[in-house]
Formats: sequence, C-alpha cells, structure tokens
Amino acid sequence: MAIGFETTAPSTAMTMLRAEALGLTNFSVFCNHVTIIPAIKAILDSPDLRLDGFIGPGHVSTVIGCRPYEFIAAGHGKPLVCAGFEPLDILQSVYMLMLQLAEGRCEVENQYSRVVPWDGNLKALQVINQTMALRPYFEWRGLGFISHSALAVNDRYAAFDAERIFDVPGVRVADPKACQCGEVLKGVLKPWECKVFGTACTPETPIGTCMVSSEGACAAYYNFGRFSRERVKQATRTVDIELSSARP
Amino acid sequence: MCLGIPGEIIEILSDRPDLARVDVCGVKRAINIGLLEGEELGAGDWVLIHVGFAMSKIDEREAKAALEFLEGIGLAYAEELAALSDSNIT
Amino acid sequence: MRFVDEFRDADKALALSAQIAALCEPGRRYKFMEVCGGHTHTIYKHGLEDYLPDTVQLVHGPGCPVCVIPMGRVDDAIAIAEEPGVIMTSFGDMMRVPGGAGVVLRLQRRGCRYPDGVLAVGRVEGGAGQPGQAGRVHGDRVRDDRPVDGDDDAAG
Repeated sequence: MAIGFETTAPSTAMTMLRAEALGLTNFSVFCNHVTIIPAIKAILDSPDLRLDGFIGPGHVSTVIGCRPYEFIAAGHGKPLVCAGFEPLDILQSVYMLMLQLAEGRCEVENQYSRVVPWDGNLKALQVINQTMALRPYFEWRGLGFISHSALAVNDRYAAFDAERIFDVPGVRVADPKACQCGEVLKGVLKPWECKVFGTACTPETPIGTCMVSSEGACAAYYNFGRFSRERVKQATRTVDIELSSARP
Repeated sequence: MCLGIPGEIIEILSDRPDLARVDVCGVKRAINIGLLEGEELGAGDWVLIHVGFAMSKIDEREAKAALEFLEGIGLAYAEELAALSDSNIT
Repeated sequence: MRFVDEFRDADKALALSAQIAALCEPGRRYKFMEVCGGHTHTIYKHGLEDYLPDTVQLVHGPGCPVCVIPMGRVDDAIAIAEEPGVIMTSFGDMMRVPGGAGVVLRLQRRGCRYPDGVLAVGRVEGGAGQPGQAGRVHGDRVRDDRPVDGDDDAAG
C-alpha cells in the first residue's frame, strides 16, 4: 500500500520500474499518494484561517523544488520558507518569515538549501510521470474532495495497479461522530482542543488518524508537547532569574 | 513519512551502478541512487536517504553557509547578553 | 551525526528566539502554518513553540499523508489484504489506522503477513512471493487453490 506525498512517490515509481525490468507478474501497488499543492490551495481558499505565511515542506521539496510554491507568494500574498527538520532549521525559517514581513517582502525562500534544489529532482518527477497519473479527484479526510490531488498507477503500468487487479469496495465511510481530525488537519483546532483528545482518543486507542501516525499533530503533541511545555516554563524561569541577577 | 537521514557514500556497487553502499552513523547499507542519475556521485559524498532511496545530494557549501549564518546569530546574541550584563544602566 | 547535530545547538536556538522576538511588531499577532508531518513532529518533540513569543503561533496543516487517508480507503486496503495469497506491505503507521472494517495490522492474526514497508523494494529485488510465504486468510474466506509459487504478492 503506497502512502505519502511527493516524497515517497518516486520510490514507488522506481519499485514499479524495477518490477517491470524483472518481469514480475505478482507485484502490485495500491496507490494512495497525495500531492501537496492542492492541499495548500484548499487551505488558502478556506475562510476559517488567517495566516501570515507558511513553513514549506522539506523533503517534498527535494522532489518538486521550490517553484510550485511561487503562486502562494505571488497570488495570495503569503511568504513561504522551505524548512529543514532540525530545531534550528525550523526556528531559522520562522526568523526568515518574520524578516520578510518586517521588510515588506513576500517571496519563496529556501532555508533547507543544503538538501532542497530549487528546481527539484527531475529524475524523480520523470519516473512519477512515467508510471502514475493524477486522479481527477480524491477524498481527503477533513478537506473533502479535492481535484487532481492524488496519484494513481497509470494505464501503461496497469499490470501493477492493485485497484485493477483486485475488487475494492470503494465505499465512503463517515468519520466517527466524536472525531475532530478534520478540523485539526486544517489547523482550525489544536490537538488539545479536540473533545476526545487524551481521553477516548490516545495513541493506544486512537479514534482518528491524527493520533495514529507519529507525524500526526495529536500523536506528536501527546508524546512530546505536553511535557516540553512544562520543561521550558522551568527553563524560562531560570533564565529570567539569571538575567535579573546579572544586573549590577 | 518525511524522515530522511544523511548518509555518506562508501562505494557505488560495480555490478549495480544504481545502488550504493552508504554509512549512516556506523550502520552500512545498500541504497538505491537511481533518483540521482544525473549527479556525479562517489565515495565521500553525502546524500539524503529516504525509505532506501537517495533523494538528494547534500550540498556541503550550502550546509556550511547555513551553519555560518547560525554561528553569526549565536555570536550576535552572546555579544548582546555580554553587553547587557556589562552595562551600568538599571 | 553530521548534518544533524550542528542544527540542534541550544544556544543558537535561544539566539534565533531573541531575533524573532525583536522582529515582532507591537500589538500584532502572527500565525504561520506548516504542512509537513515531519515538521509537526520536530516542533513538538523539541518544544519549539516555547522558543517563540506568545504573539507568534504555529499552526499544523494537512501535512501527514497517513492522516488524510479516509477510512473508506483503509477498508479498500483491508479488502485487498484479505484476498487469498496476498502479502501486503506498507509503512508502519498506515498499518495501525482504523478503517470502518477494522485495522490493517490486525489482519495478521488472521494469517496475513506484513513484512516491513521498506522491504517492498527488497521484495522486488528478491523476486517477490517466495514459496511458502504467501498469506492465507482463514475462517469464512474461500481458500485459494493456486500453488504457493504463483501466489499474488500485492505490495507497496
């Protein structure tokens, strides 16, 4: 089952190409790759949010580069900085966004330039195009149906498409009533604001996807966020005491 | 899904030029470098690895520039703190 | 670890924190969205929001590709995995997502096999569908009579 944004799509594509080269007849892909730009567009079009800018994806950008984000700055007036994954990468990216706002600029910048090439990875894009095609539409949890936002195995590689080989029910299932993943995914709710966070919905007994995946906002907050808040409060108190005692 | 790790190329496999042996913190594995087909890769180069594939060659100049920026920020901050504690203004 | 440790220095984090605070306009609030699950993870793991002034808020968007998969698609995956002779591989997180019909990982108890997701490539390298390793679904499913060597191996 293939999952991921454009970061992992090239790996799936390369695997299919290798399967083709080896002449395998018993390998297929259930393709659920999604693309980031339509998701960002859906956020920009959402009336719920007033954002000042974006911290742009890191590894997705190694594949698609930084150009696809230019419409966000040029068309929607929001700056975007592609960021790395270490703490200083994120903080530097916030700094770069704040600097843009202070200086009246609105651009796409690349903080993760040691890894992200501005033009992306052409070979990766080529193998995706060779083996996959954009679906006319795809349902996203929390965002509804978005057009041209996900990939499917294309006709040329149909022999490796699990959806054509197997019968899939294709039935829409509504989220459980208590689940507020949709709003968390759009950034409208913080994890701790969800009614079932930490009570009915925990990593051991997840109700929704935000709590299952280690990258989900709820799982991340549950596992790390709650404790670090306390820790940093302590540290800040210590720093304040030091500074005040440093004054003559 | 996003987790990528930097690894150092030890050698390109002679019978499979689309594979390379890399060292990630002492762990040595073969990974696929097919996505970096156009790049010149050799022993000692660093790549970003994601689910067994090299996604990008790490640009050491850019890495150095990023670190120099952070050093500069750190230095400026340290100077500010020093100036604050040295000052006579209360 | 090279290219990692240098970007975790706490002193430099405090320095950046001060610079960010210095750029805040009085009375203005700032909201930035990140759209990458890896960023969400780093922000919470290292408590980065607490390095930011109260007026600068980070918001998490639809950056987790596992999280945005609707329950119906999980059920589709389960349907494929339950086919006789199928071995399904995926990334670990995806195995634990609840669909309407259950959780993909729990099918292990019914005889399906889930090798590690990274092995999807390895399985192709290894010629996929090694004899004797095909999964079987027991219970009320029809058993597949095809020989083990030729079993379908749906992976990825």
